[in-house]
Amino acid sequence: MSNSREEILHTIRKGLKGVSSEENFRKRNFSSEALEIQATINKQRADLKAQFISELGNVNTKILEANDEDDIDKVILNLAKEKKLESFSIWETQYLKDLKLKKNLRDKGLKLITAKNKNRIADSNIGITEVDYAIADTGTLVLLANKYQPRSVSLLPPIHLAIIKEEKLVRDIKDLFIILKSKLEVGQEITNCMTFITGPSRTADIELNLTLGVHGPRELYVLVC
Amino acid sequence: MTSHTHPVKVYIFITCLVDTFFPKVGESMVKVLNDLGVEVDFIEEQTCCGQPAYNSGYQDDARAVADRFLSIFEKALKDDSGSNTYIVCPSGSCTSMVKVFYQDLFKNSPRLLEKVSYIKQRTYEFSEFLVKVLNTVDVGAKYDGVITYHDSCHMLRELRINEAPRQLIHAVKGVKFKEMEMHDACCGFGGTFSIKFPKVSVSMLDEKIKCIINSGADTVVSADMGCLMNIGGALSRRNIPIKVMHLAELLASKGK
Amino acid sequence: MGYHQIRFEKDSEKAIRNESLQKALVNVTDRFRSQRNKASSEVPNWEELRNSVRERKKETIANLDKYLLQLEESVVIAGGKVHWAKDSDDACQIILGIAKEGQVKSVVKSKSMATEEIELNDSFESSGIKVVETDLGEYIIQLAGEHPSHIIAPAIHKTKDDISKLFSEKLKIPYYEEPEELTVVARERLRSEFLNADMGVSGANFAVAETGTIVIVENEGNARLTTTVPKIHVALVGIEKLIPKYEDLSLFLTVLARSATGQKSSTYVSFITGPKKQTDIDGPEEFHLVLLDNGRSKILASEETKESLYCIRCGACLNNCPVYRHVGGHSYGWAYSGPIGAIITPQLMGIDKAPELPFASSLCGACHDVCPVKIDFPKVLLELRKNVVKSKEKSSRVGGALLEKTGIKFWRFTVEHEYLYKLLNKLLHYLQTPWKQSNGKLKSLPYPFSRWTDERDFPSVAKKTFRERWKEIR
Repeated sequence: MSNSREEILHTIRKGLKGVSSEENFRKRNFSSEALEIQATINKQRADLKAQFISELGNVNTKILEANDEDDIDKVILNLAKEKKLESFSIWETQYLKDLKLKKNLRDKGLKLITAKNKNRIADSNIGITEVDYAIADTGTLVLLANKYQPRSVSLLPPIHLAIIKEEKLVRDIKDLFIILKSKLEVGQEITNCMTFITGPSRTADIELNLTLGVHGPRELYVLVC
Repeated sequence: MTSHTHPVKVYIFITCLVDTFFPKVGESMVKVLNDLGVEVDFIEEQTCCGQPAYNSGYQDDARAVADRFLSIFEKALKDDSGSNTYIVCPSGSCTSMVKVFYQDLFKNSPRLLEKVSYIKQRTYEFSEFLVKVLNTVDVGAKYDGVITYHDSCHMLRELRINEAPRQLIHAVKGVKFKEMEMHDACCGFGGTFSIKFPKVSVSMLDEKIKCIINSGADTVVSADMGCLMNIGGALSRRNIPIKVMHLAELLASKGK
Repeated sequence: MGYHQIRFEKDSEKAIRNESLQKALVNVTDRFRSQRNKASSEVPNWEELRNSVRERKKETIANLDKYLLQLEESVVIAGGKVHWAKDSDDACQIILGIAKEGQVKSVVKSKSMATEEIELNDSFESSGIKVVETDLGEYIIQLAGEHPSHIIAPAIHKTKDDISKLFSEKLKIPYYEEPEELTVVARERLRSEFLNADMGVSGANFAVAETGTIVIVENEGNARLTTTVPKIHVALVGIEKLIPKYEDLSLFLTVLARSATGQKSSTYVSFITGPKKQTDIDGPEEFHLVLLDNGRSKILASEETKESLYCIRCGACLNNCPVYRHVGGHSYGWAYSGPIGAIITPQLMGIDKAPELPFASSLCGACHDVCPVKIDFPKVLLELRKNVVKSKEKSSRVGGALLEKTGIKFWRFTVEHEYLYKLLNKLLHYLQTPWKQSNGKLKSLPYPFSRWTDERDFPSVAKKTFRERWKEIR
């Protein structure tokens, strides 16, 4: 194995004939770029929200409206009633805790399934998460995995509901990577898994007919507040 | 931009296909240029630009033939005391060979690259020469018919010429122009490709013929005889009465 | 299941006669082509982007050893393991070794052209390890025992009816007509495979040297499941898939989905850096990155063809290639088809195993126009044609190659001597008479030109060539 490694490196170096150019890229300061971007985003927030919602519509994402934080609860309970949901799984983030979603859903008789058991979480009817970022020009949700934010909650249940605070919006993928890079620049550890989600699961493998809900969630709901 | 204070002189790069099989295309080109007040000359030693060998992987042979081409034209142009001299060719494909691929063919010979540079600056495909150098779109031609135009691949993608031929066609009196579906799709000629993989070539050609027929045109025009002999060869074999015409022939036409 | 010897002419002729395949190819290429055109035209600086991504790939390949070492370091820091595989056998051995150590009995796979290249499934099966393809298209062709026929839509050569019959037969279920019903079947079957598999094998679209992140682009969610649920994750990645910096991803992800399917973004993109952290609730406990060479390192020695390594496997070249449109993916005889197949198969396998492929193109250049990294396919094909001719010269085989070489030498001698050229034309003009029809064209010619005249008339040599007419009209 280390034999292969040396062979491969040797062949590459021979092929490049030692002509390895030093990249003269300009050194970027991502932290200052990120600050600039954030200022611009803050000014454009209303437009970004409108663009984001429009793009969500283009990728079969269903949009739930809530007037304020108290309303969020009601909206989700309505959805649970409409879809006859019996169980749920949820991220353990501070904001979702503050919304008391877990408590309210359990009070209404829904069973909580934690992500610790992969087989069981596949059985929950809905997975509820927040997002870490939202990309306006493509209608994309950005989720980072960590101990309060398990991957399977947005993946295994057939319905995924994401609650998105306006302040998570960025304009485009370029913005996002500048912000992410600025965090790496100051020594923040990179997550083991970042996921972009743009609409529910789909395929066109059979004669290019579009079908939703192959392996990932069949339905994606977004609540922008 | 030409300065018309000095007369324009054109040395015809005839191409072996036109010379051998379609001389009328060459004659048409001469006529159109003469009618526009351009002096035309023909260097008799010319034969081929070397493309068949280049495309088949025989680069040494291609180089030898290309070197001969460059020398013949360089001598003639350098001996010519006039300043507005050009090399004009009735083929997008052969023009690309000189203007695009000679650079690659001679990349290891700096001395020959100088010759290439000298020649390719002065070399033009026929329609581009009329529109860009002579600033002419209406050459006084007349043709009664419905025309569709096939964009030949090298002309379109190497020389980036697709507007000039259309402008020239539109200016011909009596012509009705119909753009066909997939007008920029390859007709299946590809030089030796048509012989190496004939079934694939004909399958591509079938689709092109279908598009020509569906356009409603009675005449198909292109700036490359390679494509036209491929398309024309199928039309005649199948007894489909659609005419095949090189752009130069159309522009030399004075009425049907 | 293996790949047979490449026989492009034979297989392409068969493909052309297959009516349902022809319909499918027109459907796929028309759709993908128009979708890509729309999506790319919506990006105002598309050309600038193409230049940028090409530059980044150029930078990567020009310093590949440096970036590979950086990638290795980053992955190890993140808690993953890195293995280097010099060829197919090496890669299969490494992956089987990981499986053995992990006592793996069943594997789920997400779509990876690299794993097709090394024929990984055959290795698993010979070792008694169950392997299930989870991408719907790959699942379909695995059931059918076939190879993928398109880089991003592997089963596109199959009709809906083909698939309904296949599912019914192989899965012992009723005949379902609608794609939705077939998809539900696949979802249910594969869900239990995901939940019970010991190992997930994926590819990757990109590997970021700076952070050790691999990136997987998909629409179904099966790659997410493959890389989240099983306790071991193995990613097989070609060494050319590297990009230098984390922020480079924003450029590449902007062009990839648009070029492939016309989507602004694919449904899911996973950015995976090592195995799960101690505090993570879910995710694999082991992450193995297997770097695959298999001939790639040799390609970068050639200045003329090294851009073959810039490919990001979007499939746009296939969708715009008039040859692919008529012959389909299987004609190219290996994992990669269309223009990209024509250039990398001979380079990875050796030119003697695929001498037809560089010639299986009319050099129309439509691929070059749509390639997001601006690979100059015609230029690379011409270089490979030169290599084929050189390699044929070395082998002393008689037959077709000798005939062609003689023909070229004869042609060259003729065009280098104008008097001979004129003489030959005159001679041909008289010799052609028996084959000349009333329309002035030739209806048949001796081999190899019979390959033209079988289905097309050939022009006749003019009575007076242009140079003869010149004397009269000047």
